[in-house]
Amino acid sequence: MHGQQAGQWGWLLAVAPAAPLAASLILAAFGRRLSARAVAWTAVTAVGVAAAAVAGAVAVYLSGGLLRLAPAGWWWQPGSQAPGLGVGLQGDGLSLWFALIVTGVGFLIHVYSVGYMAGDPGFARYFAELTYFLFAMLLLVLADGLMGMLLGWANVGLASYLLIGFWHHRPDARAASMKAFLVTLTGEVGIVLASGMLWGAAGTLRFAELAERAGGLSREVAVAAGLLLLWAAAAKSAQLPLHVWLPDAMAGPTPVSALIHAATMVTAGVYLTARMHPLYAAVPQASLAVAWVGAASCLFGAVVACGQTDIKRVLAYSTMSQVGYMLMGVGLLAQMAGLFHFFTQAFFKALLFLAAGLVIHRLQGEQDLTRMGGLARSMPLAYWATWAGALAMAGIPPFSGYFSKEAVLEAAWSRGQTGLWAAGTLAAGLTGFYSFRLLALAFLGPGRGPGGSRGVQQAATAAGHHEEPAVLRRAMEVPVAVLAVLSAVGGLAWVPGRTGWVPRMLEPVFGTTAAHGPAGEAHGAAGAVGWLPVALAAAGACLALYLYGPGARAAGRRWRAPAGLQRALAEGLYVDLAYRRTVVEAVVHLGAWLERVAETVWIDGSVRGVGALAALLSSLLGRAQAGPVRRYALGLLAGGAAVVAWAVWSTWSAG
Amino acid sequence: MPPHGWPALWLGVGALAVLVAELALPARRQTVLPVCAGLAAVVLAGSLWLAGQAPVDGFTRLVFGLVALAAAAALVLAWPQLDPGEPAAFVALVLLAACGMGVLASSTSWPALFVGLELLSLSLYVLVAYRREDRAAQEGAFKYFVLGSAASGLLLLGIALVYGSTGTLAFPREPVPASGPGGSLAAAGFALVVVGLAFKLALVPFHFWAPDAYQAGTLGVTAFMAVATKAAAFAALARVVRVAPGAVLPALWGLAVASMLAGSLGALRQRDFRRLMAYSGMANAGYLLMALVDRSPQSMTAAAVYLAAYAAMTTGLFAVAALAEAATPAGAGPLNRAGVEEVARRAAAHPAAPWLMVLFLAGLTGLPVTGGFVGKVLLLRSALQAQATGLALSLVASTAILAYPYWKLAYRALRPGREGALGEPGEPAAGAVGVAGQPGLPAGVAGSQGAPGLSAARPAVVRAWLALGWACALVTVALGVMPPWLMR
Repeated sequence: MHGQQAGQWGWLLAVAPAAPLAASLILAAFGRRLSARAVAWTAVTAVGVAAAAVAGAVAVYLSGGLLRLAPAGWWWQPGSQAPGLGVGLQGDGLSLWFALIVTGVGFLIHVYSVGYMAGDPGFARYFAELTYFLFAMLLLVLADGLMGMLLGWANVGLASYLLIGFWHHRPDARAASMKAFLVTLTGEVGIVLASGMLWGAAGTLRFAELAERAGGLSREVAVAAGLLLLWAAAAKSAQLPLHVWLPDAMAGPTPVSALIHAATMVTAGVYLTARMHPLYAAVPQASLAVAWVGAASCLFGAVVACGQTDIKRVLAYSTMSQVGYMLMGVGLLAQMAGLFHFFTQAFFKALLFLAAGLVIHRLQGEQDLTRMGGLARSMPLAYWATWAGALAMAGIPPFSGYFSKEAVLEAAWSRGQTGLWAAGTLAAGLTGFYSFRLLALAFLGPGRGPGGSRGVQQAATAAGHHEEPAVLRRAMEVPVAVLAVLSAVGGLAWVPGRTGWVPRMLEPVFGTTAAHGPAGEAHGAAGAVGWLPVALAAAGACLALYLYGPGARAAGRRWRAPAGLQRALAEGLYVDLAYRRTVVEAVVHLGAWLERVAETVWIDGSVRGVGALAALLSSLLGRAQAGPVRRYALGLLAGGAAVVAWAVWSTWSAG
Repeated sequence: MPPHGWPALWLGVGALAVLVAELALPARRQTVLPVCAGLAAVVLAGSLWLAGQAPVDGFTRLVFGLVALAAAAALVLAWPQLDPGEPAAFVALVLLAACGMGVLASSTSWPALFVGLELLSLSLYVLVAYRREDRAAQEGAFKYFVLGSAASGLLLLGIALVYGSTGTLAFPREPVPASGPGGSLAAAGFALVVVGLAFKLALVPFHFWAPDAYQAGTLGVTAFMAVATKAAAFAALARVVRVAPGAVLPALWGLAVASMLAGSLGALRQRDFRRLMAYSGMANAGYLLMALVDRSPQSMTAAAVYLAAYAAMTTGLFAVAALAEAATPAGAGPLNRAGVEEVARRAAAHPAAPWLMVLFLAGLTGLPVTGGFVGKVLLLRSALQAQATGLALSLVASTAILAYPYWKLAYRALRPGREGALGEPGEPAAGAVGVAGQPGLPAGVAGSQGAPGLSAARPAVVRAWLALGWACALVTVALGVMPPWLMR
């Protein structure tokens, strides 16, 4: 840890969440009265201010300062009796690493949204909610203790709920928002329970103090808290078995999917597990559980993504898979590798979503891959952006995903976790397949489906949809271009021996043991092992292009998977169905039973009983009150006698 | 008189000045007096308070300030009802009562305590009976006087016993030991002193006078009794308890629990606004007693916060009641014996009154962002730190019970058109709206209820009441948001 200097820059940390919050409040209060232009400027400016504040904080941090902003104390704590509970802000490397991505990518997506959401009747509401999300997310990552983090955590959940259900006239959006809210809420329960345990055992919820005291925790507490936090992380980060909300969450507007459900909020679980690294370092079993949950989700998401036909659901499952890599890295205590992958994934996943958004926008809401195709020529920017994103996601060097994914897999290999490495490597091959399957289905070959997407597209053009103002089109295109460049070169942030942004930011937090450089660093994993994931990904990509590419249809060899497999993949391997059959039905039946028995008999009965008791006692008292003055005097004297007798008796009995 | 009491004496001087001034002023200007006297009281108390010349300790200073402000509030609230009577006498009595309270709160010897208590009691007996034409007021004042005399007698007996066992008329510096030859004598004496003060605090079972007396007084006098008397008596009780033998404490907790529970249960059935406030006051006095559990400075901070919040919320509620009165068109009469329903219904006719009422009731219920919440949290904490779980549970139960009558009142104020929605047969909705439609109501109705001055002074007075309500609201919220700043 650095010293406590740079205190004079602590306000930067407050500016970052405060600016979006202010914008959100303004837009919520006056949004309807403002013009669309004013709404857009308010939101974008606020996020820009937040991004600048974070950039300033990073600069201060890199120059050797640790930023802190602790409030004077809770207002109901005049004596400040519980120092570990306050909500302050801190800006160490990990927090700023996340804040940088949140505000940077957030800024680009706000700009994109100006074009994407133009003309929507809920334009102001959209930006009020999106800036509110940004406020909550910054609170989450900048809080200096579990208490503040939980506040942010709950608020991003609410923002996510609002934004998934943004088009609340659609029943599927309403259902999806409720599902996401409930599933992630179970994670909050995990945090609350873990916080209670840690507060009881360590006497603080501040990260810095927890880090010092984590080693002294009893094993049981550490394991239980670690697993509860893992539960919370899995719920928020859409990891097995709590991933079911993420694909449905794609019912929200596409920029929301890009920002919240790909780049930032779903990585909150990664942040949480990385933030609690002293705890996980103390109990290797718990951290290994984190890694295995990540690996399983990584593989699962990759498999299911291969069978999805909705473009956004493909990306949703790919997010689950990529977040799995991050958790694997964090669980292996190679946090820097995992967080590096968070960094690159934020770029290429946001890029893929935004490119998909361009396609969806052009096709007037069409999201079915099987009805797309042949868009490469008419949408060159989206096409090439998807190329960049797909190459990055598949981990083809020198695109960004290669460096970070290799860092994670290298960490697994070098730590002897062959199983994790194998799962990750297999998933890498599948990543190549589904990335290029998406690319091929959407952009290559002739238009598919009835009428083909050309027809849809022409209809869209004829409807004048294409003739939106140039400024709005540019608002969408510029962020895509920027993200495409970042996806391509983002991996250069950490090329061992050459650049070291990642270690510069994160090494002060995690120490050098968490540093596992990308492939090629001297850990003995070079060579075949290091190149195998790349080779598999390339093979998967080639296979996808072969099966779905331009030549496939001409040759009449459009490959179809066996029907059973296809259905299983489309259904997400029936996890949803299993939930419905077990948890949902059980809860519904329990609720019905509770309403029938507990609600009417126990609760109503006891409430009425208490009320009746109070009324009875009250009427007895009222009878005593209604008397004439001599009875009052009797009460006074009897009471006085009783008090005196009690006091005197107490003296005697005391000795 | 001990030197500690001297700032309070200025209030007595003020009272005499008012009486003299009455002779000099022309008869029709006499309603101006209350304002002048009230302002004088506030300025005097405020300047002494700020100058730090007020006696003893911070808590006493707080109580002294509360007493002065409550006296001013009482004058403002009572203003329109003074006219057919002796306004100057009323003002002088209020100031004398405040003087007695100041002496009582800052007393450090038994004679000062007794003189202060008697001064405030005798003034209040007369104030309660101020509406001479009202038989109910006479009855309430009579009960108050008879029972109060008995309580004073007990107190005097207690002082005698304490003097007999300690041999000095000054308060002891250390807690009096309960062992030894005079031990039980001292315990009995302190117990009787506690009884005498508990009577003023209206602790159960010494509360019987309170509902009748509260109902008998005008709004101003009742608010004054509910706030200032309790504050002063509590300050004196705190000082007595600090030096009392430990044997007295269990009985005190018994009083606290009984007051909290009986006060809240009694409030359940009240249909009269002032009787409701009487019971609410009993319960609140019980809460305050919790702060005496461990006799520590920290718990006195809790008591200070809660007392200030209680004073603001209760005074504010009375100001809202006064506004409700003002919302009635001329001829409908004052709310001297108004039921809860009617207060709420009339308050609803005023734009701000229902919301102020909701705020004060939220505070009394202990909801966050009000001083009531912070005060209750602090009181609970001091009780729990002293292992007094029973007291803490009583506070919670009592608050829960009181929520019903409080929120019934708030509900009626917010939804005046929906009587009976809570399952109670409401009175026919004749109140504000109905009467407003009948400007030609016979003037005799107003005259028979005895407040023709209401219409004369209305705009200025109503503004003053509204300002009082907002000031109380501000204090309530300020205490809820930043008690640490205010308590430093």
